[in-house]
Amino acid sequence: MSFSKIAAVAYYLPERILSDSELAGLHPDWDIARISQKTGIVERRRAGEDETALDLGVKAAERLFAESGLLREAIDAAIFCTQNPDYILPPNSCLAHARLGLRAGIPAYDLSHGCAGFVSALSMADALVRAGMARHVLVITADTYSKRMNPDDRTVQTLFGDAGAATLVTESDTECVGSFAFDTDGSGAKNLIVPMSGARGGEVEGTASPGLRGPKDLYMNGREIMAFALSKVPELMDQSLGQAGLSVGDVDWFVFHQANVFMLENLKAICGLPDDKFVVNMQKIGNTVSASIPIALRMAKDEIAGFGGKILVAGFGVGYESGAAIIRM
Amino acid sequence: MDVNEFAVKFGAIVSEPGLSPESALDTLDGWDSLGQVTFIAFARRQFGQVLNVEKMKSAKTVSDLYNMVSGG
Repeated sequence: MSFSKIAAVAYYLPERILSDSELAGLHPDWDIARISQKTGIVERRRAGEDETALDLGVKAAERLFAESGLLREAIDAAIFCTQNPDYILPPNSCLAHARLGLRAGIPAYDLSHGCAGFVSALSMADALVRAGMARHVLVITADTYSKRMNPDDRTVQTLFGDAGAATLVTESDTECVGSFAFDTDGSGAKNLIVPMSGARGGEVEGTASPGLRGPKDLYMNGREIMAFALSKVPELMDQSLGQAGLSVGDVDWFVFHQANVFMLENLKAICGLPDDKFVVNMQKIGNTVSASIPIALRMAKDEIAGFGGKILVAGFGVGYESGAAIIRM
Repeated sequence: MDVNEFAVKFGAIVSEPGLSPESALDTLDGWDSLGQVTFIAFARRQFGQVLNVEKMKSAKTVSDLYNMVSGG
């Protein structure tokens, strides 16, 4: 059995920047300063009107091929994780397969997860490699929550940013991806939801708000999400560390889903993590959902001297779904 | 942490100095969704409590919140 590793990460951000000052101009009744002081987010990206998560993910993958030098013919499995597919059917992974010119004879999987999506997709890629079914797995994580937001809903407008990321998972002689720990709790589904977005029509009680948010708009109950994350993430971190036989002091870096600064600062304190090993870098791109962890990894690699070694990643959010893993880069 | 000390710390969370245990929550501008998110984190960090959000929202006074997080 072979192991897997993350061989390369690339990302793509849409060009349009939505700044706090623009939001303040659009919504004079919003206390933008108070919100950004809490979230730490001062800018977020917005996909163009005709630009989708597929486009962002494909552009990230093209960057990955260009930077890594890997021939696209080498890809022998593809995973596309998004909650904003071009269509209910066909799958985004098939569309990306065609757009990227990947070779015939390989599987392509769609995965519908959000802020924990990268960890879930990484576990699938790792499993494919360990099982001997693939040697080079392309993992695309991309989302455009902006397309599901009501323009007047400050809770989500200030927080989320659009982005796409591509991660290359390849076989490895040593274990560089592993110690996965997951949790699923569908009882929290109603706390982060687009009610009328699939086959089940009708509203979901407590999500719509007249003049602010309709049943086709993204709804987020920030209080419930905060309570969930502060409870679950420390548990999963401990489980992952336990599987690896490591303690907090053995880990070189902690890269959690970049939800917002307030959430991360509290998680850092509750988990007892050191400041100088804890990555926070969403302030100028917002919470980029499934793309946030690979973007954070790549930004840290580009901007922090000596970044690498044993890294604990953790994702948490919509579902609820949450997961942690330890990688070596 | 007794209830009076709690009231001072809670006042900092909702940007309302001079609160007492009897202060009513529904009169506080800072006791909005952002203030409540902040309080959830405070309860987790200071008291190790994962709050029931609906129960928190039904609290009437500062003292009610103290009883919730302190188990009183």
